[in-house]
Amino acid sequence: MKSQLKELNDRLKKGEVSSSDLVKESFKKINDQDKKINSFISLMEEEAMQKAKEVDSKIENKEEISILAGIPCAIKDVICTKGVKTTAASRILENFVPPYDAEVVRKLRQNDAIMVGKTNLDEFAMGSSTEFSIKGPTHNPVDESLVPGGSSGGSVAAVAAGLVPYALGTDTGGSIRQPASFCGVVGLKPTYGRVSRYGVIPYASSFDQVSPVAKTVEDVAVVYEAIAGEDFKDGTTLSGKAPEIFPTIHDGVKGLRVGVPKEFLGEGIDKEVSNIIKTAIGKFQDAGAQIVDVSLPLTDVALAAYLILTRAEASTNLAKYDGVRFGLRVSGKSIEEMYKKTREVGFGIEVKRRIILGTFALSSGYADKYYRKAVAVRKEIANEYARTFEQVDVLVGPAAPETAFPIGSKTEDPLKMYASDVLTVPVNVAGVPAIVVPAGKVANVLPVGLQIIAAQGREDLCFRVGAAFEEINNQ
Amino acid sequence: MKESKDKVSHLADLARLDLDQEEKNRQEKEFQDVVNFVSKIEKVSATPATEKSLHSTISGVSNVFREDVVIPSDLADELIELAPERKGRLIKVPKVL
Repeated sequence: MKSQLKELNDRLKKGEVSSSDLVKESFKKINDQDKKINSFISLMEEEAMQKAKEVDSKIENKEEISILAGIPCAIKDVICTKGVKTTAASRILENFVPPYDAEVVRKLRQNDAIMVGKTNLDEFAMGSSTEFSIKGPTHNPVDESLVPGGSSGGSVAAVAAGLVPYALGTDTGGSIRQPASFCGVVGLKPTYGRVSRYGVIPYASSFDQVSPVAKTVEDVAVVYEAIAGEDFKDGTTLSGKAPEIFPTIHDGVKGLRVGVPKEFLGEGIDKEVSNIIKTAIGKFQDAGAQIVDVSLPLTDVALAAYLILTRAEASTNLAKYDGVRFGLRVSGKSIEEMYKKTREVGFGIEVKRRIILGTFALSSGYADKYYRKAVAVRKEIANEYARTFEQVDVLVGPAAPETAFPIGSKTEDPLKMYASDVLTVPVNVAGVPAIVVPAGKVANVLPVGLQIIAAQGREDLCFRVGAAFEEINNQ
Repeated sequence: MKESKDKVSHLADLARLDLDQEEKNRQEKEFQDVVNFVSKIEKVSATPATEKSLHSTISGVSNVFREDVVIPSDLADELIELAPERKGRLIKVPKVL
């Protein structure tokens, strides 16, 4: 499929359209549609129009511009933007204005990208439906009564509805991939450490990754190349340059070994979702790929290990919100009362659930049994993936066990909600990259995404197989 | 049930969360359900975590150091301005002791 970004860049350079036109159009669409969808928490109209004028000047003066220059995009509101409110959809940061840009934002600015606003999310990126937000739920553009998925639901919905051609989200346990599946767009989770976390409000530091969402694989690749790479300000950064994507992106799947883990199509997966994925696998076979049946037995415990580790890390990360140095402060007679009241008022129900579980997993008498054991299990899962990638080049399966569910249907049942990520979390646990590409629709309406997983550092294979699938699926 | 209630109360205290009774009741049941679910990792055969695995990322990254050189930053004033209550360049809080 054609890259929308490359096409827009072409038209801008030829003078067929101006950046100001593109940005105005984006705001018009947001004005028309976002009351229903609620994908944006805040808009950056003045800054965006100003930046558009600057880019138009550059184009008029025949200056070199990057592919992303002058094109509107949206940023998940958990990524710091200097001078622009960054709330994490939480009361505790409701009026927080960061004095610096996240590294990924700095890189986008360097490319003259135009940010039109900050998108809605589950509070502190903790959720699978974008319902746990001070701004209320985001609605799936495909069907308003349904969730877009989460936690990057705002970014994904904004792209799916055509409000912006791409957006940045974050993925800790599937927060880009599951909504991408629910809304019918393309989303990536890079190898852990590939994209800088500097300036990204952390949820689970050893899992969080920033990544783009767009309508085509090529567009995600373009943005990925702009934001990926070593950053000395991120203590968990991968050293060296990110792999180049475009030299091999159209190499196809002929001769590639495509593994299908039986656990990905077993019990608990909707029949219709399974059928769409099985059809997709058939198409890979027709295109010359070698289909290999594999098994990942530890898939069954990946969610449990994930729940323990992320909640433990979250309880530590959220300890900084105490009303002292920034964010909400609710006064108290003593410092302890101030901490307790601030956090009680500032955090939503799901955030509190996770802090409590995380505190438990790290507490004296339980840390060995839960936290340390989960670290050990994580390593086993990563090893299981590494061994499997000796036999196959990529692994495929559904991104989610279901299609988008109705708003309000899982908010009272945490375990039911967490189960929505059962196919995405093992990827974050193993630290490997994965891309989600639209595979079809249940009842011709509800999108289903195909997840393509590769070995650590092999985003190039995710993009190559994703692009190949886009091609063969659209024939 | 009583064990759960005390547990959640204790954990909320450790985490400096001031849950009211209604919230505590709700969190108890949910907490126990999730603990029961995650306890399945007990049965998994896994090489025990080492100090190394506890202190490196799953991508194998650990001890990322830079040169011990002062890099001037101009953020101090802006950061201090974010504090809810200030006195000059000092951040004001209720008494600690």
